[in-house]
Amino acid sequence: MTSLTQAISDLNENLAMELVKHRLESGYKPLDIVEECRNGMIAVGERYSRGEYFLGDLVLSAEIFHELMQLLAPGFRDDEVKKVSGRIVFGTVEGDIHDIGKNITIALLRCYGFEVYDLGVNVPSDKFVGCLKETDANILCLSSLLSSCFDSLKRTVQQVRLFDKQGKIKILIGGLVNEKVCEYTGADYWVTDARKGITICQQWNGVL
Amino acid sequence: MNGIGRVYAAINRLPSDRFPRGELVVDKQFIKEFMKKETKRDNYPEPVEEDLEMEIEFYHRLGLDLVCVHDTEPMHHSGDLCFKLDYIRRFNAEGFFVFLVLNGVFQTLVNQAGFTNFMKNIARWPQQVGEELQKLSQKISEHIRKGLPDGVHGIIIADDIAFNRGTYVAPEFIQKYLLPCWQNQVNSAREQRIPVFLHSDGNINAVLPIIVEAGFDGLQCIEPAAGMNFKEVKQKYGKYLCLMGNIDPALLYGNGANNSFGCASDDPHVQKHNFPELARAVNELIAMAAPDGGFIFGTCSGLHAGLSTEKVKFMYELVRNI
Ligand code: B12
Repeated sequence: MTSLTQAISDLNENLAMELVKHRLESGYKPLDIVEECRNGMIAVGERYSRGEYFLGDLVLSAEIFHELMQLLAPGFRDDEVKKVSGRIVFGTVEGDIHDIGKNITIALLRCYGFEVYDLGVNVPSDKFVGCLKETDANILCLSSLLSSCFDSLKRTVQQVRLFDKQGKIKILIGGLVNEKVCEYTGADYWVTDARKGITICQQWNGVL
Repeated sequence: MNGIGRVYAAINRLPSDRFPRGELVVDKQFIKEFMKKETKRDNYPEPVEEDLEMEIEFYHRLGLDLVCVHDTEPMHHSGDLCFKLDYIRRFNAEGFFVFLVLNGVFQTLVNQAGFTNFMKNIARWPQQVGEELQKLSQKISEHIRKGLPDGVHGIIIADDIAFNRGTYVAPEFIQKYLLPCWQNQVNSAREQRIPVFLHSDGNINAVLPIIVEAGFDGLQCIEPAAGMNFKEVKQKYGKYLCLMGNIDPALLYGNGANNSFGCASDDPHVQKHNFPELARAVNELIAMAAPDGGFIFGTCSGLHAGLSTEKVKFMYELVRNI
């Protein structure tokens, strides 16, 4: 593990900033530095999965990553900037206003190079469809924590399937859901953990 | 024996005619929907907030023994607590045990800073946040010491410290910074001879010993959907904590047909939920929890608009006939 990867893994914000600045001054390629940062994020995720880190640590890691990317951004060449892992439309379904888990997942997805369109909370199904059409995203992420909103989940999935005749769009649901809910709504996959959700999106887009 | 006597008996493990029943919160909209169906009366005054008599009738009809009164303006700039005193007096006169629900220090800072900011602050500057929690706790304890409104019998400190995967922050943080706050609050209530419960959603297994150490008289929620096992909690901590809960609200949604499953993480507990399922959950809970007292029956998170009034009625009728 490089010192930068280790610093991020340890959530040592100041050291990580120093190291990135130093690497830039020494002529490292920004994209190589990004790789080190991503590895740091992977290490944080593993520590969270092991129960060593808690939710706050996960949130902080996303913020540190974001800050480091700001430092690196001016060094990217145009063709490099476009290198995204994929496009995702994300929102909390109609009737539900829980967004803490959604926001954390989005922050992490962005760290992993996804371009995420956040539609917010209490989002009606047609708004999801509209945004998918506009952005040409191939993944739809839906969050729901209320049992009373499983029907909105289902409605949204149905409407998306109706317009996506070729079956290009994959649908991932998360929050307080389970296998049964996934079956009932017709979504492609379900998770109760942001980290696992990211892995699924990466697999779907062939970046893993 | 009235509700006041029953709840005291449950807390103090004294003999009683039956175990008490109570909800952490019942929203006005739910009461209104329920009473409309029950009485076939459609002319309850608007806004419903004002109809105290309807509320009292509702509590009697369900056979509840306690009422939770919430701070009406928890974010009030003066920092004073705001409670509807006339409500407290009336509930007391009707024989209900009255719990005041106060936001704890953790919950208050979550509300003030926003959840993600607060989480980040703890990860970055645990000590500073810890100090802030202590300062805030002094205030809460002072409020309790200054004396609570007449007619209040108990306090519930509401601190949501956990979700399905466990506590939001490391148990070490809770031990180091939250425990002294809780102890402080419990001690000031003790001086007034007022019992104190803690409410937290989520999976709090890892910090149950800390909750006991804080000296709480009871614990509300014990969320099964987050992997909390009532039986285990009772076996290990039932001696110290009066347990209040823990019917999963997922059992009370819909009318059985359109919403025939509950939800929970990847917990095996999740299966088909309908009336027989509800009946089974209620019977199981009571068979396990009621012997030797120290138990208050209710749901985890209270009664909210959107829950099936039929299922809630069914549940409380069932409890009454046990
Ligand atoms: C905080 C909270 C609230 C806050 C929400 C604030 C906000 N801005 O989000 C407030 C106070 C507003 C609220 C309101 C209500 N709530 Co609420 N709430 C909670 C609580 C305590 C925590 C939820 C949370 O944020 N957890 C932390 C996050 C990080 O976890 P998470 O959401 O699971 O997300 C993780 C993963 O699931 C994943 N994830 C989430 N979504 C997605 C989506 C995708 C695609 C992916 C990949 C990943 C992913 O990422 C996260 C990190 O791993 C839960 C209790 C619990 N056990 O969860 C109750 C809970 C969800 N609420 C509940 C209820 C009933 C309500 C209310 C109806 C009434 C009430 N009790 O207050 C209202 C409903 C309002 C509405 N219309 O939506 C119930 C739901 C019961 C049920 N089976 O339906 C719960 C379970 C409480 C309980 N014990 O009964 N609530």
